[in-house]
Amino acid sequence: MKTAANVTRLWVDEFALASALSAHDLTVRQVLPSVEVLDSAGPARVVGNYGYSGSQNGFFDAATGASNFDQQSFTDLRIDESHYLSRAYGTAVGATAYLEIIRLTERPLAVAREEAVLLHFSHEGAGGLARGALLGSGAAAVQNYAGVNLGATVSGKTFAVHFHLIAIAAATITMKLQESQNDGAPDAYADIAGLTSGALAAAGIVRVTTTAATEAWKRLVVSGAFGSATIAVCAGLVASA
Amino acid sequence: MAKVASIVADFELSSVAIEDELTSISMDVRQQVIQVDGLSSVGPERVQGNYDWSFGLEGTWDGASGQGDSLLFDLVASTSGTVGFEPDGVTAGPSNPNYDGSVLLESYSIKSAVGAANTYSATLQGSGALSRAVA
Repeated sequence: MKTAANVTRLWVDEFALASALSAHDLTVRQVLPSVEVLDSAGPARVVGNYGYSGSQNGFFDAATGASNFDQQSFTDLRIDESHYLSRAYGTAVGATAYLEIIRLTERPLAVAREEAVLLHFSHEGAGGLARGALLGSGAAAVQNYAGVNLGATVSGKTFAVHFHLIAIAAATITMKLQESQNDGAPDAYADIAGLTSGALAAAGIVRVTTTAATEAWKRLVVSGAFGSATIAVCAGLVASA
Repeated sequence: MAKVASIVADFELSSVAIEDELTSISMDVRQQVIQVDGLSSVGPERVQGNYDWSFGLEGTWDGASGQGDSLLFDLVASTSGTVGFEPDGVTAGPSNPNYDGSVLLESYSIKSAVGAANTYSATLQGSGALSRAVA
């Protein structure tokens, strides 16, 4: 399905960035060494590793609180550790999503006459890139979310989940993934070992993976006792040979 | 052979037609043309070696199952895919060349910006011979 850019959403760690950004891109590059020999007819190549990078263009915002894009990009995302970015191309459960492990590379802040103050950041990939779907976002409720057919995965392939907890008030929330061969009927949904956030009491990010085989349909299950919580959960299969 | 507008062009990636999302297709063939000038050459002297080829694609991003985004991501860390290009949208014939071959994904970029659709571009490098079918 073709989509307009304004339905896309980005989350990095515990930050929802759609309210700060006006444009973003993701680029994947593969290493393709030439193995051309004397009797080659046409090119001969083999596949090496891959890399990816992205850039996000937005507006400077120093407001206190969750929308503080300046603090997020300078203080929180610039520290020496990998961060987890989820990029969804839609807001509904099932929208295509990419799951990235990133390191920030630059963060230019630009001021020019007669224009808004701009704040951008760019990043390089720092781990496997996964493609899958958005399993739930926005205000969380204790419930089973709709199932999504992400395709069965085989043992040895890495299936990744990003549990972004943007905000929470009054106690704890637990998020986990369940699987079914056919959206619950006749094969009932069951927990996937290891794919849980655990009980969370503060905003943050939890990335979990499994290399065990999984069934085609996955759904998000939210439990716990909380006054309010804002979440974004994406899951997908990591590209690998 | 009549000249044709781009609206008729067909393009298959891994046996799936994706011309409905493409806005631009470019096929580039590059020859190794090696200069072998001697002392007495008058003007350049060259011989021909192997060749290389690639496809450049641009389109409106489509995340649906089995469409361009999933087909291109399937080529990340993968061995190869196939392409089939019919410039005039007609099955191969004497006046209707079709270009086919195996490809490897070199790059894939998705772009999103306020006021526009999600778009993408990709470069597919040839892997082996490029065939021009006319029958």
